[in-house]
Amino acid sequence: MSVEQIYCEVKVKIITTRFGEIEIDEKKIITFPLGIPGFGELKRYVLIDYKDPIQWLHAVDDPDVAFIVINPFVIFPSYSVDIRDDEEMFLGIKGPTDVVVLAILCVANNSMTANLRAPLVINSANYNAAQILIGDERYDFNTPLPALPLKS
Amino acid sequence: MLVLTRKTGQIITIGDDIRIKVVDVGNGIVKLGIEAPREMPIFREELYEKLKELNKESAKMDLDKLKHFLGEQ
Repeated sequence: MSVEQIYCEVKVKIITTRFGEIEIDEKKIITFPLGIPGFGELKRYVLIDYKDPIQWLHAVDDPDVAFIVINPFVIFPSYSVDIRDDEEMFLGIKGPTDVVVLAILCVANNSMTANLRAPLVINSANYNAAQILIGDERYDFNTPLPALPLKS
Repeated sequence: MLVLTRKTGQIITIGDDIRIKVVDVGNGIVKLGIEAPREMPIFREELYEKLKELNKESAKMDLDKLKHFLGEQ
């Protein structure tokens, strides 16, 4: 195998209702082996940068399905996520540096909330991910969001 | 629905991979221990239903709604 082949990027086109047709690096596709609750059949997603710290987690195989996500630690510095051993093994997580945590945002009635009870956990080493339900009841499914420190 | 009677410490097996043990019973509360394959998600049903509904609501977000919200800050 030549060097060119090893480093060749495979681009995949995905159709989105919000952003039109976009091209993504195949290696950046995040796999949710179990899907996301409510969307069990959709396993492949991609992160699209929006206004930092906001990103969209977009389904590769459904142009309509996308979630607004943020790094919750930016907004809630005291937030912590306990990932169970079986969840770590399922995602192949070997250490804390593998872990990326994102919270899904929801906008209703002009207020924005973050789902801190069920964060998305991504293994950045193998791009496997899952939405986990954490046991800590201090964190709510609809945690009101303070003003975002947006960088455009 | 299959209804089985079990005592504390007794187990129900489902297929080859799933075992549910009655760990404790009392005051209208049953504590269950569950052994299942890692790829088998296990949730308290009411939380799972809530999560599904919230995810469906969250996935409806359109760009205009987000821009509207961000513009109002």
